[in-house]
Amino acid sequence: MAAMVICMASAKGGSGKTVLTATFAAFLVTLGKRVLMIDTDAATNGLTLMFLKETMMQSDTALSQRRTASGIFDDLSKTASPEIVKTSTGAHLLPATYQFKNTELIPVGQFEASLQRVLQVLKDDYDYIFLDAQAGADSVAHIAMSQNYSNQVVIVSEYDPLSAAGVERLKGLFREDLTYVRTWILLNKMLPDFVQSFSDFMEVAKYASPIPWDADVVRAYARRRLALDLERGNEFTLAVVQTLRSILGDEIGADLDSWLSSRTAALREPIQTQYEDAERGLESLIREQALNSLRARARRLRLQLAVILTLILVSGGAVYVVRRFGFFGQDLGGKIWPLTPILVPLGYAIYRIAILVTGDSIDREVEEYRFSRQREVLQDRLKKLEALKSADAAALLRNKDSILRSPRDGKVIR
Amino acid sequence: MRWPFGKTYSQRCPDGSIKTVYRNIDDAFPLFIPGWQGDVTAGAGASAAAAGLGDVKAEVKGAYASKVQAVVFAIDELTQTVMINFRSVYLAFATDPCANSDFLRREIEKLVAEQQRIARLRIQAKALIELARAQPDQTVEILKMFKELAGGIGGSVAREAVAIEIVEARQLADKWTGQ
Repeated sequence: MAAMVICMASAKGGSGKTVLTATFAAFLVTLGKRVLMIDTDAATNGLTLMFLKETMMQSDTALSQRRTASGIFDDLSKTASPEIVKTSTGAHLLPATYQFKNTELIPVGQFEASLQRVLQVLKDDYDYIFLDAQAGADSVAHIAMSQNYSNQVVIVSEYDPLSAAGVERLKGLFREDLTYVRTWILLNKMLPDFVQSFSDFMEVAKYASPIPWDADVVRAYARRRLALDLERGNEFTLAVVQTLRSILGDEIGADLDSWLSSRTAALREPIQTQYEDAERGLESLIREQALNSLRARARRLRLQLAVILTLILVSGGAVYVVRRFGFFGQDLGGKIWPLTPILVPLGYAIYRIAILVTGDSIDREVEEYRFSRQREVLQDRLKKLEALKSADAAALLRNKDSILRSPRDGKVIR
Repeated sequence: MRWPFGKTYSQRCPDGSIKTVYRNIDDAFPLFIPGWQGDVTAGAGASAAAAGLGDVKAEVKGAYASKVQAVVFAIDELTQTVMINFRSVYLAFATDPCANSDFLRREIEKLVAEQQRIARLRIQAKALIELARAQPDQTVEILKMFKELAGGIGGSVAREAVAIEIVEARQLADKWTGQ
């Protein structure tokens, strides 16, 4: 079966399109799909830079085998074959170019001929081919978005007025290519608070479940990694699952369900259950923190009592010994009582020393810090999960359908 | 049945199942978290020994000592966080064993996955300590290992990994562009 070609486009730079392309590709590979990414971004060569090490290694390998490695912006229209890079994620990549050059100077006609040939040659070898298009509306981006080369277009956009206007501009410019049926709008880096109003969008265009903003993605990207966590799961991975389900739907539904069933609870369980668990976990953590504080207070009280009791016993014993054996003369017994106020500061000093020796106060501070940090983590997780719940495009569409379904025959009214 | 001095007690649920609950949460620890010694307040003395990694200061000297110590401290912190999580999850279960048994099962599954990750990180840290101790001149290898490990741990230790990654990316790009 020929591959489905998905063009990842954006109205302006910085929307996170390249990272999402690599993420989707990596995820589909874990589902057992054969995935190719083609870097069609002449301006930044984003995917090529993301996998530069592997690209350079592939170039060296080709050179050692007396081949000239060619990327999509090299002249692939005639005889040269595309040189494919196997990335660490398992997805394949056709870079923009292997030899450093300004790819923006490549004639558009040459790029189009190369793309046409590459898709002809490789379409049967893959299940999905992602075209990472150039941001904006120039000719190279238009070719990648065109119906002649891609089956679906996902316009990745941030959630702000400028980006929203940019998306409309793009749709206006390429009206014939960006039809409702084949065009998705994917809101990326959306703040969890804003996701709450996501259902409003469903009325006006075909929106995929958005990807909420997540600091883990930035952290992972800073380390040249994808934020996907396929073992322990995280909110970003859950969001990607949800987004791909809304874009590819039945295409991957069964594979996705079977893959999820083999994963840990953090991925397998529905978002609603995850949300309830996180809520219960937070409540319990707060209770445990309060209990812990009580335990610490009880510990301190026990220590204070022990010190007081020890002082009473020691001083009582000392007075007894002095009087019993008549040390310092017989009349000392009467003079010893005015010295008793010394016992109070002495007792306090012993108590402070005992606390220092047992390390109780430092331990408590460290533990309090851990509790607070864990509380923040859980609160953040709750917020993200709540956003994911509101962002389930498939569920929203189902609800929309149920609203618009005729009560008489159950047919959807459109 | 609730025996007054028993470590555990059982509760019969409406669905007919019987749930066993530990009275003292610390007693439940060894069942789920191997290597747990039952003292969650050992934080201030967070050390390589606590993380099962020996004495870093004595073993690694010089340029890498602080890096390795940061890694070891971070691994210990991860372990302590798992403990705190387990305590609170078990508390929820003990409060209502019938309603929260599924919750306990799911959370234990997550905690076990996290525990396995920590175990892997611990092995990597041991390898890093060994390499830094035995062959301190293997800078490239040590930094590579540190980068992987710090990246896997995340948090503040990852900052150093990011800095290394940026330097490497710049060098790679320079090589590509022929500078």
